[in-house]
Amino acid sequence: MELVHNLAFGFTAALSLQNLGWVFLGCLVGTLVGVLPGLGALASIAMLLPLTYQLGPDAGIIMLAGIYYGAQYGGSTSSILLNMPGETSSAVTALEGHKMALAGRAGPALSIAAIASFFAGCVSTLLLAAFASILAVVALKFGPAEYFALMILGLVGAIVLASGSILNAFGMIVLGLLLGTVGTDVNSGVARFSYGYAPLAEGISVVAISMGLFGIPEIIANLEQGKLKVSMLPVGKLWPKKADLRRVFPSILRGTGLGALLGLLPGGGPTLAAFGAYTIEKKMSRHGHEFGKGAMEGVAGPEAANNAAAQMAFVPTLALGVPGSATMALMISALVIHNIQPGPMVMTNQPVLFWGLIASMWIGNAILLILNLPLVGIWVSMMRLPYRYLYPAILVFSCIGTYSVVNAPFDVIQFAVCGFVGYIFLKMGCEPAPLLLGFVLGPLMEEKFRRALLISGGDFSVFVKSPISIGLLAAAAILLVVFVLPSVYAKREEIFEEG
Amino acid sequence: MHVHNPKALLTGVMFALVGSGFALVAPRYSLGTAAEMGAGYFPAMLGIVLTLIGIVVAAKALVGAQGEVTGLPEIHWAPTLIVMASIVFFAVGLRPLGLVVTTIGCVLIARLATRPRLSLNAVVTAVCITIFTVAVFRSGLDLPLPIWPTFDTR
Repeated sequence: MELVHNLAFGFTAALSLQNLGWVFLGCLVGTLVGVLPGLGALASIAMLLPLTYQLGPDAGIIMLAGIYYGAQYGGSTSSILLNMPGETSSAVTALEGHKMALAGRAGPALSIAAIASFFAGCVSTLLLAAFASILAVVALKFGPAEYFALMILGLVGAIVLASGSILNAFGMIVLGLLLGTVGTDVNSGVARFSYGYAPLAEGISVVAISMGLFGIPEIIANLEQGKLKVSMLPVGKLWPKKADLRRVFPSILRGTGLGALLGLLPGGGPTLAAFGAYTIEKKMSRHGHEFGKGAMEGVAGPEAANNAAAQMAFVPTLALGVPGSATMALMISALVIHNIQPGPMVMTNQPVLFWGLIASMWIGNAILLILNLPLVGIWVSMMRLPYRYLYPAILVFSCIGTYSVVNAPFDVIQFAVCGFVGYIFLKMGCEPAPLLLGFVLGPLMEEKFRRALLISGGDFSVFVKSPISIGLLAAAAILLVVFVLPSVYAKREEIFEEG
Repeated sequence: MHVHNPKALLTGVMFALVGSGFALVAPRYSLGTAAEMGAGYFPAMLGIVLTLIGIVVAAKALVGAQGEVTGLPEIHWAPTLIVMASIVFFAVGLRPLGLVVTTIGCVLIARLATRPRLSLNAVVTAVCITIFTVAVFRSGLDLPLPIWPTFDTR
C-alpha cells in the first residue's frame, strides 16, 4: 500500500535526531505559549519565522507545526485551571473544564483534555496522510472557479458557526475582505488605498491585525476589570476513572470527526471546531443536562475537535495552497521563503517535507501527551505569576513579533491601531475572527474570482459549471439555509448565551 | 425614539460608513469590466455589499428586532490609552533607542495601568523582562534588533 510506504518513509525522516529535537522544541514552546494567556501560537510562529530561514524548510516547518498543535494542548490547561484560555480555540474548554476544576476535578479534566487531544491527533494524522493524497489528485481538477467556491464554503461555515449575530459576522467577513485589498494588487501592480504611503503598499500586516484584534482587547479587558491576582485551584488526582473514559469516548469520536471536517475547510479551524463540538455534545450526549455545571463531554469533544482541526488545516494549506487561518498563512510564507510553493505538486516534489511533517505530527502528539500530564505541575507554577508581571511581557513579545516579520516599525504602529480598533469591536460586540478570516482569504479569493471571469469572458455562470464548484456552493447554501431557519437560529442563540 | 440596541446601531453605521468609503474610493483604481477586472472592481463590489449589510443592521437596531437589549458600549480610556502608548513607544523607540531602553520604557508605561506611579516593583519587572528579551531574541534567536541606542531614525 502506497500510504504505508509513504508513512514509513516519513518516519525515517522524522526520527532523525535533529528532527526529533525540533519536534520536541516546537511542542515545548507551543505548550508554553498555549498555557500562558495572551501569547498565542500566531505570535510565537511569527517570532520564530526568521529562525526557519537558517533551519531549512523540513526542520523549520516541523518545529512551527509543533508550536501550532502544541498550543492547542497547552491552551486547555489555563482554560481549565484559570478560566483564562491560552488559545482562542480553548475558550470553549473553559466552559465545562473550569466548572470541573471548581468542583475539585481539575485533574480528570486536564487528563481527559490531553487524552482526547491525543486520540484526535493520531486519527487526524492518518486522515491527513490519506486525505492529502486524494486531495492532491482532486486538486489538479481545481480551477479558479472551484477554488473560489471552496473559499465561499469556508466563509459561510465561519459565519454560521460563529457565535453572535449572523449578519454581524457576515459584515465582519466583508470588512476583512476589504482590508485585505489594501496594498499592492498582485494582478495589476496598482497600490490600492495606500494613498502614496510606501509602507502601506505592502498591505496591512497579518500579524499586526491578528494580534491587535485578539490579544490587545483581552489585555485591556483584563486591566479594566482589575484582574491582577490569579487564583489557583488544586489539581488533585490526574487519572480519570475508567468509567469516565468510557463515557467520553463517543464525544471524542464526534469531536475528532467534526474537527477533521472543519479543519479541511479554509476558514474552519480549531476555534470553530471547538465551538461546533460543544454545541453538538450539548445536544447529543446523554448527560446534556450536566452542561454548565462541569460535564466531561464538554471538555472531551471540543478538545478532540480543536486538535483534529489544527492538524487537518494543513491539508488545504499544503495541497491547495489555501491558508485556513492567519497561522497557516504564516506557514505558507515559511515555505515560500525556501522557494517551495504549496499546491498539488508539493507532495511529489517535496516528499521528505510532506511525509516527514506528517510522521513528526504523530511523534509530536505523543510527546505532548507526555509533556502535558506529568509536567502539569510545572505549567501550573508558571501560571501562578501575577498578571502584572505577565501582561507587560506579552506586550513586549508581541511588539517584537510584529516588528520582526519584516523589521518594520510601522507594523508595530499598525499593531497599536488594530489593538484599539479591536477593543472597540469587543465593546460593540463584533467578532474579530470572521474579519481575520476574510482578511487572510481576501487576496486569494480576488485572484481566483478575477481569473475565473477572465477565462470565461465575464460569464458569471462559470461558478456553477463544474461538479466540484456546484457541490461546494450547494453545501454552502445548505449550511446557510439550515442555520438561518428560525428554529435552528433560536437554539443557536440559546446555546451561545451561556458562552 | 428609544433605541433598543445601540451597539447594533453603531455597528451598522460603522459598516455602512466603511463600506461606502471603500466603494467611493475604489473607482479611482479603474473598475474595468467583469471579464477584465480593474484593481477597483473587487473592492467596489465588496464596499457596496458592506454598505448594504450596514444599512440592514442599523435598520434592525432602530426597529427593535431580535429583541436584544444592550447598553451603550463602555469604554475604559485609561487602560486603553496606556496600552496604546506603550506599544507606540516601542514602535517609535526601537530603532533610535535600541532594544534595552525601548523594552524598559514599554514595560514601565504599560505598568502605569496597574499603578499610576513608578514603583520599584515595576522597575525590577522591566529590567527582568529586558534581560530575558535580549537573551532570547537577540542572543538566542539572532533577530536583527539593535540593542543599544544608535539614534538611527531611518
